Amino acid sequence: MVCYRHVRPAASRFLTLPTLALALIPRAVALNLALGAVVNALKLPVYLDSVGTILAAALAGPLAGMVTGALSNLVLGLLANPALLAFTPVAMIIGLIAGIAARLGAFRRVGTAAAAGLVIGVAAALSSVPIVILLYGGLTPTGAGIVTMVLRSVFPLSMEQAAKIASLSTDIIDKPLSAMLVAAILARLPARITARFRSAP
Amino acid sequence: MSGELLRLRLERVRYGAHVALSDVALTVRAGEIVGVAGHVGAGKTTLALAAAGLLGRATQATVDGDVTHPAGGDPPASFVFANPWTQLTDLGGTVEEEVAVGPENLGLAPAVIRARVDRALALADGSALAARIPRELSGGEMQRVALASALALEAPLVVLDEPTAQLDPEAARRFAGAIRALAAAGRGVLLVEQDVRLLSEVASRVLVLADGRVLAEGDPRDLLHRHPPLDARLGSVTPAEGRRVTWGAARSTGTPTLELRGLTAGYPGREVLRGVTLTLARGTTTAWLGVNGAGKSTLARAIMGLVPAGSGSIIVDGEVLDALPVERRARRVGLVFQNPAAQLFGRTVMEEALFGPKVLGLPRDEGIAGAWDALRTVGLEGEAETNPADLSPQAQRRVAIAAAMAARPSLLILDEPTAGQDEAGRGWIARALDRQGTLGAAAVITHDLDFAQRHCGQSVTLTGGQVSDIES
Amino acid sequence: MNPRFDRFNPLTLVVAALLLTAAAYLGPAPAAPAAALALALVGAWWGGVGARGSALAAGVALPTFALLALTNGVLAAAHPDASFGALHYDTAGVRDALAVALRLGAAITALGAVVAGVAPRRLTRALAARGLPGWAAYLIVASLEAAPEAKARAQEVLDAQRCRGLATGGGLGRLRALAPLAGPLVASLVAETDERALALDARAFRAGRRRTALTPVRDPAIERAARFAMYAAIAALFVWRFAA
Repeated sequence: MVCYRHVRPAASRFLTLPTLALALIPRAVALNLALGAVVNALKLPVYLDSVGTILAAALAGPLAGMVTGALSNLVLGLLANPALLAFTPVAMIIGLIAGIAARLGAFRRVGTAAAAGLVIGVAAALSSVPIVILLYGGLTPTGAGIVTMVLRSVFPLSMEQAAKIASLSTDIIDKPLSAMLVAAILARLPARITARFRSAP
Repeated sequence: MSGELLRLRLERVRYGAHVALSDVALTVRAGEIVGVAGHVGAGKTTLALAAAGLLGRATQATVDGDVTHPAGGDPPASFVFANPWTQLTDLGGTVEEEVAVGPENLGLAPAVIRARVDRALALADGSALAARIPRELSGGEMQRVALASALALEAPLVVLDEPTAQLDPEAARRFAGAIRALAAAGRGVLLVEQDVRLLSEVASRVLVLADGRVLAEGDPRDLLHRHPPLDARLGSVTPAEGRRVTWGAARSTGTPTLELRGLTAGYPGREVLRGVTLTLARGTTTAWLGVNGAGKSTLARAIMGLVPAGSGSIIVDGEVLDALPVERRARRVGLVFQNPAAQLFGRTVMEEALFGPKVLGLPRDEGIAGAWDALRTVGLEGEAETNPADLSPQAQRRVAIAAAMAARPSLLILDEPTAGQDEAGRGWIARALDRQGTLGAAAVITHDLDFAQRHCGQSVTLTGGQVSDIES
Repeated sequence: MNPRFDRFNPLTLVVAALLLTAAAYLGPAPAAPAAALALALVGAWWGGVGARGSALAAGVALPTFALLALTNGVLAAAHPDASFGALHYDTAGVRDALAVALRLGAAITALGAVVAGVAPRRLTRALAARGLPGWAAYLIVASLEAAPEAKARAQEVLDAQRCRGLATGGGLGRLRALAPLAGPLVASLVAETDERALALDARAFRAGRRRTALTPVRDPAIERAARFAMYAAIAALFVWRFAA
């Protein structure tokens, strides 16, 4: 039984999950959680809890990004608050867009990464609003919820409009910052490692 | 039955442009233990992966050649890695569930899986661990579990890549016993090892690689006596003669570098250090010895401030450190952890070395001078512009040591620096210790008694949280 | 984990929690969510996780009710038609807020109870018996283990960098501390991925082969029938909600 004759590195795949991605994804989930812990320890006013999702998408493609996002949500939902499970579609959208942006080369430069982050942020913010309205009536018991409450009370806005604005205001900083961080990380990784991952810029 | 389990003929194995192996041929038969030795980077791991049939799958290698497993099997070969922990799939809550993961993947019936798990644990000397939780095991225990997990696949060929590199001598000895049992049970074993003593004890044949090619082949004991140059490449086979390092004029009788008085420290609910009193004079290199759990690492962390001290004093160069936070103590004390990956992040080795001086606020030219000096001491001045992630784990440890030395601390503590290093690497570390001796004092936590005897002027043994023995 | 929950196949418990959640969201408010919440609480207490489940639910549902009632009922009220002392409020707004809170409470209690009472590995084993591929089981369990591993790793990096002199307090320094803290985390993450991928390959994780288990989870016919009935009930709820 012969193992090899002449073996070449495997060609690029779009929607499949090779073993390398399988090994990467739980580590990316760990990164989402660890960075969240670091940011918490440093008491910085951002979340940076999607960096792992975006990184996985940039290295291993949109599917890997989506799975990372879904799993991170699953873990948080299981460990902290089951209601977070409902936001899985949002996390998957983040992974999907990041993966597509990576294919287009967005993460090669910090500037284009920031632009990609903006798109991701808007998409994430808007897609989370219907879920927030269905689940929480529009007001999560967080800072964003308080912002929404204030907006609705002071301005003649519907709940949906107020929730959209509140959601956008946080994600517009957090996602571009996360994307820029990923671009910076990728720039520092040696070519030897990024070459392993087919999608890498 | 001594059938052939592996017939390997590799013309060339490449990772991109880098040629890892050229013209290597190898066979392994049932009941045999074949060893593979060589310096760091010689291609041993590549050869091991190729032999197990794993090379084409997850890694991006271009392979020209034949690897045949005449005895077949599903899978034909199983693999044990150097790091016990990255092999843990965690799909099993207990050890026996973890060992069962392989057979479960093969889709076998529960009764068959049960039988295989029991057999594998017995062969790997791990039956006593069956009900334990993997994450609570020691490195040596986990490695035996990893071996059992591989054996549960019941592949005729077992390939092991430096399995004892991260184990202490006691655990390594136990593991070697398990390897011998494998051959006795009829499996074929391909064993890659830095530890030449181990190879000469268990292997019937050894293949020596250098720079991707076969340097020599034959009976391990013959080989090492016939080729004196081999001796230097591979390290000593005979125990060291106990040559001590003499410090002579370098020792000063002034303020000791480190003074500990009745230091107690520990973790919530567990006191580890019970009154440690110790003095390290300037210009000395001390080996800290003791079994796992005696408190050596805890002592280092307590001096650094990572573990709060219950009572007692820590005095470095006459300055009392007790009230200072970790980052302030860093001016005086450098601690290099067992895992260099936990701190390396720079784009270049030089950036890594400059990080300490920069963050401590040292003047720029002093920092640069310290960094160059440190890099030269560990032999990495040629790699100043290299990305640390591009270096081998052994070289990365030297980067971590240089990074700690660049800030010129009075006391430098190294935690298990020689694990996984070949003879050349150990030489560089010894040089770092010599250099540190001229700047202050050095302490080495180690299980490597050979290294301790050759390069440390004195030793301190810790038992049960107290100093039990001081020898010069 | 919980002896009472362990009598059942984990999937049955999950589907039951999903049914309660569906009932809460699709059934007529406030009766359906109130009933679902009550049932969920009963189930949770029976399983021994009542305290945790209800604490979690209360922690989310109560503040939500407060915020929502305040907003829709008072501050941005459409038609303030009742009063409580000097405070005018909109009964419809408050009623809606109550409905939202009840639904949320029911969902969190039901799902939270299952999460607290079922060991994840047991759940993945049950799923594997119903066809979940090995790599998916690995992903779920490995990601769950990611949490404690992540904290341990972050602590390790923090310790190592502090030993080099990195200060972690005060203003702008915190932002600068991000690179030396995030960098090693990421670098070791990506570097380790290689070896873990090989380890997975070496352990015979293959596509297309159904995994078995050392200690299979029992799935008696009656439970499978019960689950089928629950799926049907959920479907019926959807039909009722969107066809009526």
